[in-house]
Amino acid sequence: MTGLAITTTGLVHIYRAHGHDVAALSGIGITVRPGELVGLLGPSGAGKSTLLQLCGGLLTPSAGRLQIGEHNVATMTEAELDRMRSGDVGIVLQGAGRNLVPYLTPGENIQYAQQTAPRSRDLPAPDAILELVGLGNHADTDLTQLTPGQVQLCAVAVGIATMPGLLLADEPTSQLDHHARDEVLAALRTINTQTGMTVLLVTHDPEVAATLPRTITIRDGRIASEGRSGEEYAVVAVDGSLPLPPHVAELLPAGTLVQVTTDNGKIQLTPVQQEEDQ
Amino acid sequence: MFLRRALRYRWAQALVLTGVSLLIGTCAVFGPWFARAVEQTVMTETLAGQPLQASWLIVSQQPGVRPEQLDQLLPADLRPIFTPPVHGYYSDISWRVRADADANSTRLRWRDGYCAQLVVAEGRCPQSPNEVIVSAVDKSAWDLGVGTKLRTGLDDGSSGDLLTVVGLYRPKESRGNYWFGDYPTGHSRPPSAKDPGWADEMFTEQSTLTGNAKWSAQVTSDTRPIPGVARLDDLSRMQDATRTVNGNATEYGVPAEVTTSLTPLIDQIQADREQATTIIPLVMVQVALFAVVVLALALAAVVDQRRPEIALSRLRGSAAGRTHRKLTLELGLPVCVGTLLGGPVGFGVLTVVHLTWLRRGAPMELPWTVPVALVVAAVVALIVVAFQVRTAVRQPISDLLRRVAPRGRSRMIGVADLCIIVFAAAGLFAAITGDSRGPFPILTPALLALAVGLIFAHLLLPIAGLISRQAVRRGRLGLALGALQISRRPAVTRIVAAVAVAAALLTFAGQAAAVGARNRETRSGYETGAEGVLRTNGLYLADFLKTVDKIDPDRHWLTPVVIARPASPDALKSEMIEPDSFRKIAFRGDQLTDAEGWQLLKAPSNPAPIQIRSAQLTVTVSTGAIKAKVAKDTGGEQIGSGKPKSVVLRANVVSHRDGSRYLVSFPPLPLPATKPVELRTPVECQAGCDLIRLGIGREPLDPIGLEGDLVISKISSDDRPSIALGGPESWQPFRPIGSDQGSVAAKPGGALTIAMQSFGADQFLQYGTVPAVVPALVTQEFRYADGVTTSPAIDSTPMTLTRIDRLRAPVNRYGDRTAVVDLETVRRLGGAVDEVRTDFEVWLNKDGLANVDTITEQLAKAGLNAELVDRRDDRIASYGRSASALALQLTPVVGIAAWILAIVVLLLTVITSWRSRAQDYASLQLTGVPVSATGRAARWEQTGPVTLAVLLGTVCGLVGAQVALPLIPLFASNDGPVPLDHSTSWPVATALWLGGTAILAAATLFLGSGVNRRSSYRGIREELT
Repeated sequence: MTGLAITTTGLVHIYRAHGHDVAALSGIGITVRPGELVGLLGPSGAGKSTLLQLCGGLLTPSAGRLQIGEHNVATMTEAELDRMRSGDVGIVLQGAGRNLVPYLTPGENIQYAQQTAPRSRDLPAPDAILELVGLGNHADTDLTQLTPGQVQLCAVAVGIATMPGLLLADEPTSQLDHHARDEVLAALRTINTQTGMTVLLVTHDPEVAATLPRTITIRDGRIASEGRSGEEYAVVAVDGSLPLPPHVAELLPAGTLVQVTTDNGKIQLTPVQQEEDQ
Repeated sequence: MFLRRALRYRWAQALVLTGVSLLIGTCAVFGPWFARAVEQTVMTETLAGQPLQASWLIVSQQPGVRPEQLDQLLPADLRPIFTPPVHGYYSDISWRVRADADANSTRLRWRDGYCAQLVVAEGRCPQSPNEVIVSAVDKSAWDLGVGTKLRTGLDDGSSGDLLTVVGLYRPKESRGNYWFGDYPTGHSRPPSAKDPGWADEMFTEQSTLTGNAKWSAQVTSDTRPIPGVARLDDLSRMQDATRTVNGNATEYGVPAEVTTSLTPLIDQIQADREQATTIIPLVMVQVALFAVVVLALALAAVVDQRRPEIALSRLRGSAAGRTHRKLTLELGLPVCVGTLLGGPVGFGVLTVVHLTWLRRGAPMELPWTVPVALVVAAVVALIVVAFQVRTAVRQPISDLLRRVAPRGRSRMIGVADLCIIVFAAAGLFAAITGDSRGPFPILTPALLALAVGLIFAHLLLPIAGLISRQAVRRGRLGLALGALQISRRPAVTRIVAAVAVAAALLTFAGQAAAVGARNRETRSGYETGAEGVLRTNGLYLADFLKTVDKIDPDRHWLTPVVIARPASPDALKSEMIEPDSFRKIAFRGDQLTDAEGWQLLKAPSNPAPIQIRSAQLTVTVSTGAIKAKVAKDTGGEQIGSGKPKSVVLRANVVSHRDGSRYLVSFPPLPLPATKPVELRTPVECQAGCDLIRLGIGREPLDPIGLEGDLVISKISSDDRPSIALGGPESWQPFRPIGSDQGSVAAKPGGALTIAMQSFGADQFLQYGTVPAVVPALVTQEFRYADGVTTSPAIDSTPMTLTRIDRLRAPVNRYGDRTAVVDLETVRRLGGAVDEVRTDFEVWLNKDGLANVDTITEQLAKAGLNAELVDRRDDRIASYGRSASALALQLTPVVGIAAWILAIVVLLLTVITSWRSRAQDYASLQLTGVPVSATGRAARWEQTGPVTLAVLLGTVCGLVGAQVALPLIPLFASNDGPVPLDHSTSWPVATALWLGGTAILAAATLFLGSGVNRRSSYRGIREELT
């Protein structure tokens, strides 16, 4: 199974809370190529976990388009979503324990997850999957005997049990010490490189983000910026809008008139002094 | 695939589910099984307790018939369940010891195996024709002994054979089953001036009766169903055979008739069966319903805990249906195993019950309803599992991923809750509107408690929030936190509903048991009359009363009661009582009427009786002007003509010796008799008499009516030269029913002036010691008519009654169609006792019953054979063995089971929320809330709602009991004179409420303290669950 691409166009998700409609995502447009390892960044409540859940088919988009490989998630039925999750999309929830059946060993947890995989798929043995994430000798170890880092690795292993084209991981490194965090990141990189699986992980840890080849920062339900190899870029949306980086936005309060000029390939923003102020 | 691992990991939950399901299965099978066992027991008990009524007594009067021929009347298929027939011959004969002696009567009998049933006191059993063995009681009465020759005669007056006495006997079991009700009486009565003599039964060899056609012996064959062998399935065949037997006898050419009360006995068994089949399902359905609810609640908690696993399964792409099947299998397995295990457990419980409560002789059967009920229970339990799992599985994955279910969802009243509330309302409505039929009223206690519990639980959440905010404002942190915890934990609804139902079921069970026991005791008391009843064979009321006075002059132990039965069962019978002693001795005797009623019932204390002790009476009489009165027949034609020739003065006296009432007639007084004439007549009053009536009669050949005054200027006896007759107000006309147009009335003048109007029939004035119309308490169902209604006196002559409309309670012992009259009034009225229709009874209180042997002995010394025919305790025990009582014995078990289930729910809810609650309190402690405040909150959180739920449940149980108890057939027939008392037993209700509150409050306080102790920082950390 090769990696799956993710394409979203004008993706909107609105939920209702306390009698009010709240827009969790407001026209997100991203593209993740097959086999990419991408991190979703952003503060709490920005909408990154919502985007991840939309990708996993756990939520239904309110508007826009969401394409996972060949799947148009926005129009899929519940059964189609089940089939998608059973073979094409693996999900690792925040909190390692939530991904595992507590009374099963790591090997059995992988078997449990493989039960729903398409029968035509040639699945690797649980030992091989555990080997891939660095838990080679722990197939039969009781979960309570594992360290928190190993439990998280086990959760990742379960997430890729069916060898999906896309792995969605929500905060896989939270609540882990540095060593364990690095092990988990290493495992995710290994999965990405050795299997070609697309990996989309949510994190708000800048140190983790710094190690990822590509990051997408979401703020207030919109794409705020995108990082490539340590460099941060603003992203022009489909409608031509451009979210300003925070340090620029501070200089340009809302309502400020800006003169946009080009100069030899560079785009220059110049605030215009208004008449009342003169 | 991982089912075993899953079950092993959550073994405690599996155990709880198995346990609750086991209860459902046990209830399901135990209900019909126990009902069948009770039905069999009732049948066995009824057949064993009423052997005579159950018997087929076949008699043929045709000569030459052999007893074996009579056996053909019993259908072949019924013979295995009937006792081997006891054959016999008998003939009623007259006999005398000497040729010149008076003839006496007796029954000469042969019965198969009779000798084994007799204790031979002297001599031996007969071995040859014309040998007899006679009762030992005849030895003293007749001076019979071994070797005595008896000259026999037959009913037709011809002389029979000479019988030789070869032995004297006493029956081994005087009323044993062998005799089929036709036992030697043990009574022997020498002839007297009044009666011929009667000897006890004489037994002889078969050849005595069969060898001589002159005896005209009757042939008998007696049999009855064998208790424990005859089963319910045989009932209809037995009933059919009993109904058709006499018709079949003619068809088979067997000249015989069968006497049996088996048909009404079978009807009684059927009525008892209805009791069992009504009460047991009623009781078991309540507990089974509760068990199903508890299973649903337990499953809700268990499924709630499985939400992360359901989410995980869905997350891995498992379809909702597949996840549903897997979880249903995981949870359904222990539920199914538990339910099916209910079968053998139910059988075990039934075996224990059979050995303890039920009669051991009753057969145990497996009715078809048992496996069906087990399958239905398993299906219902699995449906509950599937429903609960479906509810969770169908939630969106995003909702399942939350730690607790979204708040809005848990606050809604679900469809199931709404259905329960609607059903409970329907039951209550049906009860209030009087339409107490159908399943809703029966289920009212459980449904009502469930509905109220659910409503209370749903109201509790917002109210607790309100209380919490107010408590915060008042600075009561413990209460505030506790109330807050209640408001944010929907699980409390489960506890409150379960506890309310348990309290309701316990209360209902307590009320059912208490009300049942109370009604059995009350009915037993009224039906017995007192604690015990002795029946005597007295023939003379005065003798009887004298003996009773001698035994217990102050009436500490006993009260005498005389019963006179009318010839027609539709007429009133008389229950003659001593008001003062009856009030003390009879069961609730003082409640029979009020003070005024007792006063009106008693014989008048004025005037004093006119007592004479004399061999003759002398009167001086005269008449005023006498007019002839012509009577007319129904066609208006005149009867006779001319002048009246004479009038006859008559009197009624009641003998002090034996209470007999004699009619005394003076010689005819020729008319006119303007001058006083002295008339004299003999009376048998040497031992003393009371003069109770004076009146006139006419001579047979003097039909002309007359009108005028008869003046009695003087009346005297041997002991009294002049007897004061009192004023005219002391003499009231006594008008027998059916008397003609004549009348008499007392008027002033002379000693007694009688205004006469006579057309031939005797006319009397009754002296004021006995009311001319007897005051009586008449049972309400009898259509009383003033001046017309009568009841029999001791001599069976009708007494005209006047009803005292103050009957306040059922009439003891003879409740229907009964007139309670004063025994002293009847004694003064006198009369020769009608042996057939009049019984003398001695009613005993507890002390009297304790001294029954002494009383019996003293009665025997006075010549009164007394037999203890009834005891209240026996009746209570008998009712205690009825289908109703046996079935109601289940109710305490049900109450306890309900309470256990409530505790299971409480523990399950606490266990499943233990960690999160401890985390909450630990978090609060980290923010500085004192441990004491979290401790109070932890205790308040459950103790408050649970205590209130117990109270609500108790109230619902009481209301439900009022609705459902009237539907419980406490007796085979509820139409008796003793009304059913369904009033609430407050001591039982209070005790159960206090006990229930104490137990659950202690449990919740203990659990709350435990939660608070475990509220630590470690508990806050995320752990694998």
